[in-house]
Order: sequence, then structure tokens, then C-alpha cells
Amino acid sequence: MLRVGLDTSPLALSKAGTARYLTHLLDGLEEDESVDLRRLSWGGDGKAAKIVRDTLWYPMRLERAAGREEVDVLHCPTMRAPLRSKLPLVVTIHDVAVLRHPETFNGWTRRYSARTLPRVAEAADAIVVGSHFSKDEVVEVLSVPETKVRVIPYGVGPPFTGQGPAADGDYVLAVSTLEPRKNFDRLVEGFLRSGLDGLELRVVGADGWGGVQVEGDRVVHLQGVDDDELARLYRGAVAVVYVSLYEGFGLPVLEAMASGTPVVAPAGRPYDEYADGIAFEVDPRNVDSIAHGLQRAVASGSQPIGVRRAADFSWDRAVQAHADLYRELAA
Amino acid sequence: MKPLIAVDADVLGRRRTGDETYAAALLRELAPIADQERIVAITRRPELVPDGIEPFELSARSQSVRMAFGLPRALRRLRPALAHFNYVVPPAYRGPSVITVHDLSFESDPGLMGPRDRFLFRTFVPRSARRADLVLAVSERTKRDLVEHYGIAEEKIVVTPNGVDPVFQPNGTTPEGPPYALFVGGIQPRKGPVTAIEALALVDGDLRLVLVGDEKRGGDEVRRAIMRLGLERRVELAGYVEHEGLASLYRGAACLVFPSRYEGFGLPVLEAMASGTPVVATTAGAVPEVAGEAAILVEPGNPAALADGIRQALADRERLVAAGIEWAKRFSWAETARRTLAAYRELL
Repeated sequence: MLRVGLDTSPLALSKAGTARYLTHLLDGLEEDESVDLRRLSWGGDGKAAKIVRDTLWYPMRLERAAGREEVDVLHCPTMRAPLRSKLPLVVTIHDVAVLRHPETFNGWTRRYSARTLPRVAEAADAIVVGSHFSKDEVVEVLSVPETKVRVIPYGVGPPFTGQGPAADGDYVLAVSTLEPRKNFDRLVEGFLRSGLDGLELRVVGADGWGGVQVEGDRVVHLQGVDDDELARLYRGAVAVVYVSLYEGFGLPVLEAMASGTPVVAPAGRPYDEYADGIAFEVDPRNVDSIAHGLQRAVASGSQPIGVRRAADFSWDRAVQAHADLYRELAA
Repeated sequence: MKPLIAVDADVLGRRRTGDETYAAALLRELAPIADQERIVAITRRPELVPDGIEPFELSARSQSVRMAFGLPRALRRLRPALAHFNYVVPPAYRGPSVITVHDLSFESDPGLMGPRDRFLFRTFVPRSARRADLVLAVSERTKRDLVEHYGIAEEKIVVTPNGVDPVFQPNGTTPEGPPYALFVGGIQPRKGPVTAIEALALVDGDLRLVLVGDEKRGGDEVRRAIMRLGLERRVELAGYVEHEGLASLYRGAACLVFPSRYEGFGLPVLEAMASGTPVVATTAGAVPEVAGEAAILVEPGNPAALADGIRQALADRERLVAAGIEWAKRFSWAETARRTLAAYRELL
């Protein structure tokens, strides 16, 4: 049986997309009877614990812990990972935003990533990314050979489906952590400029950093929303808007599609890899473009093609692709 | 090998205004983006098929014979992975299919179409919509009609709004010469040409009316109305006008009058807006959804209301021109093609 060591420390952090990815990976691997899963983690979500974990545990302790468990493969599901490894090492890099747009990250993440990410990429035997766009970015920014990078698109599944209870009210929904990269200023401005006076803007997302606030007339910030409630919000929304300035994948766009709700997303990569011909495309740096996109999306009804397309992106498929990769590296 | 998609493009070159514009623009915009498939257009006019799309010539003297025999035979030869039709899937074709439904005017308002055509449409369109794997509707209104009249499952209907051709744009000049209101559409009762003429009689001054479009089942009635109201000097029947000529007619017009009684989309509304021309239209069918708040909308079949609308449009020209240009920007044939290709790819 294949023994896989998986770093589960990121579960303590509240990065929405990463947590979703890791949760599905854990559930899927637990069910896979050909895989013996070992969870590896250290410390909690306190700031001090985080710094110790980042500076000591990942670089020095994690690989030793994995060795004690006698795993065949070690998988670090975020860019935090050992800087060298005798064990076959898989690292998931969700995006290289921290190197492309360092100004949109806090100081610690920015400095830590600039130092360690190139070495982590070097140490990894395989790098998993969620889109072909991210693959090209990783190859370019981290100078790793293309053959080392595997594209395994993210997934979507229950409770994010087209059928089911929907939240009440007339609203546009935005789902993202409140941080500068998510472009909330333009999003709110675009919403207010769209003239959609009968609608409110509901924002679901944990507080991030950088003093990002969402406020204004008809703007509501919802916190502590669980997945079932989020699924109801997706289904009940007149439209979903997602205008992040840089993303490796953009999971809320796929979740909106799966819910059959019209979605506004930036034109081009990586969204065109899964939402082409479905999303209402905008230029996220242009407030008028966002406003127009919203008007178009709101005027359109349910999106059956989005539901169909999203069905191609199951988490089972993603988990299976990971298991295949582990086997390949262990052999 | 790339999968083959056959598009029934019989409307090319047949002066079928909206439907023809749709087919030509769709093929043109599909060509550069359909890089993973081969697209064949089945047409009687292969020279009108844009580069990047393979023409397949199929002559047709009778539409019924073509649908019953010619088209199925062509499809048996082509053996496409998917076929895309306008309104009707030939009964003898058994493969995967998509249809585009432009409007269900023949259901909503029985008087708007000749009895024979209406019988054929009502026989074949509902069957085809049920048969097809996906139905493309050009507007939310047409989608609603498909659900309400035929009980088609919403999950099967994809709304792919029409676009507007770049040839329709302002050229910075203000119209010269005696002012005219422009009517664009087949001269048939559904488009309300008589309402436009009656409204003109109620508008004082030297405003003229130019009607552009082939005379269908309404030519005589229109001529009688012109004579009855003594408007021979103020109304001109210009017949069918090609794209470029139409573009300059739009640009030169004081406003578009679009007194339609039912529309699945209403392309002239957008074309006029894109040309920088104020629009007076009705609240019929999909028109409100296509016109947004950038037009003056009045009740259909009411000449007095239309005349009021025309006066308003002339008085409020500047605002309507700016709003129309802005609004029309959100419709493009490239977007139509992207959404259509996404639908094809779901079935391949």
C-alpha cells in the first residue's frame, strides 16, 4: 500500500480556496483504500506558532517527521515545504501572486516567500498547479522545468449544485477574502455605478489584511458563512461577481457556474480554461467594464451550460489525479 | 481528428434580415475561435461563407423538400459530430443537434404570420426543440416563451444574445438634409409599418419616414395607409438595403422607429444605437431587454403614443445618442460565438 504524508497545518489557516482544496484531498484520500494517509502538522493558527512553523518546522522538522512515518511520498499542499528532501516531495503551488504582485501581500508572507519559494520549487520532485496559466507562471517565475509541473484543475461538488434551497432577497454575490488583491474597491464602485438600484451587494469572505473594508449603501458583509449557507447564497444570487487582480484558478467562479448562476469574471487566463463562453468577461482594472459586466450578467437568466461544464470538474477526479502522481513518484 | 460541426446556413444571401445577419456573423466569429473543431456551413451560396469555415453547397428550390430530403442527405454524407439548425431539426436526421430559436412570434400572436407558415412552424419547431440536445435562444424572452409554450426544460436552453456589427457606428457627423425617421424590418404586420405611418401623420413639420426592408405580407396595406393619409411626399419605401447602405441610413436618421408587435430580439434597435441614432421602440417581446433604458419605449399598436415617442426622441436626442452608444457596446457577435462554441463543446 502506498503511504502518503500530507501536511495538514494549513487547515488552521483560513485561506478559503486552499482550505477547500485540502479538505477535499483529505476526504478523498481517506476513502481511497490503496492509500495509507498520514497527517502531519504542527502548531495552531496563532501568529507566533505560524512564525515558528514557517521558520523551523517546514525547513527542518517536517521531512524528519515524514521519515519517521516511513511515508513513500510527502505532499505539501501549499507553497510552504521543506527546502530539501530525500523523500519524493510533491508541492502544490496555488499561484505565484506573491512574486508577481508582492505589494498585495503582507510583509511576512512577502519576505518569507521570496526567500523560500524558489528553493521549495527546486526541492520538489513534482509541483501541482490548478491551471495551465499557473503552470506557465511557475515555469517562468521560478525557472523550473516544465516536466516537473502537473496541472490538476480544482473541483466543485456538493453542496454547490444547481438544485437546492436558495437564499432570499435580490442581490449580487461576491466571494473572496478581504485582501487588496481581490480588488474590492473597484468591485464596489462598479456595483454602485451599474445602476442596479434594486439589488444589494452581499460579500462573503473572511477578514484578510491591508485594511480592506467593504461598505456603502446596499453593501452587506456576511461573516461566518458555512458551505451550506454559501451554496444557498450562490443559488439565490442574481449574479456572482469575481474581479480579483491575479488568481491561479479562481474557485468561486467555478462554484458559481456549478450553481447555475451568471458570473462576472476577468477576461482571459486562467478563467478561459474552464469558464470560456460562460463567464461575463470584464477588465478588472476598469470600473465601467465591471459595471457593464454586472448589467449583462444580471440581465441574463440561469446558466445551464455552466452547470454542465462544472460537472467535468469533480473533486474525485482531482483526488484521483493526485493519487496517480504519488504512485508515479513512489515507484 | 477534429470533430466536425455542420451549421445549416441556408439563410445566407436570402435577405432574411435578422436571421441572415445572425448566421453570417456567427460563422465569421466562430472561425477564429473554433480551433479544436472543423465547421462546415451548408448553404446555397458557398461564396458567402467566411474564411475558416468550409462551405458545403446545397441548392434548394423548396424549403420543405430541402428539409425532408436534401439536408438529411447532406448530413449523411458529412457525418458531423454535431449539427446546428435554425428552428428546425430535419426529422430524418438522427445525430446530436443544437437549434437556434429566434422568436416564437407564431405562438404569441397568431395573426402575425401566414396560416401555412404558421402551421409548419407550429408543427416542427416544438418537436425540434424537444429533440435537440440544446436550444439556443437569442433572448431571455425567447427562452421564457420556449418554457411556457413548449415546456422545454430550462436546463436545455442557452441564451446567446445577438451582437451588433462594427459597420454600425457613428462617424462623427450630424445628419444633414431634411430629417427622416427610419423604419427597418420586413414590411409585414408584425413589424408595425402602418403604425409608423400613422404616427408620422401625427407629427407636425417636415419629418419624413423611410421604410427599409423587403415587402412581405404587408406591402399593399402600407401603400393604402400612405394614400389614405396623403403622405406620399413624406414616406419612402426604400426596399431591401445592404449592410453598408443601411449603416449610413442609420447614421443619417433623426431616429429609428421600431413599432414592432413582437420580437425575439430586435436587432435594428441595437444597430441604431451603435450608429448613434435615438431609438423609439415598443415594449413588445424582447425589445425592453435589448433596449435597456437607452430608448424610448411605447405601447405597441398605438400611433399616438409612437408619435409622442418620436417627439421626445427628437427633443432628447443628445442623451439618447450617448446612452445608446454606451448600451450597444455590451453586445458583440464575438460574445455570441463564444457562448455558442461553449454550447457546442458541451455536446462534443
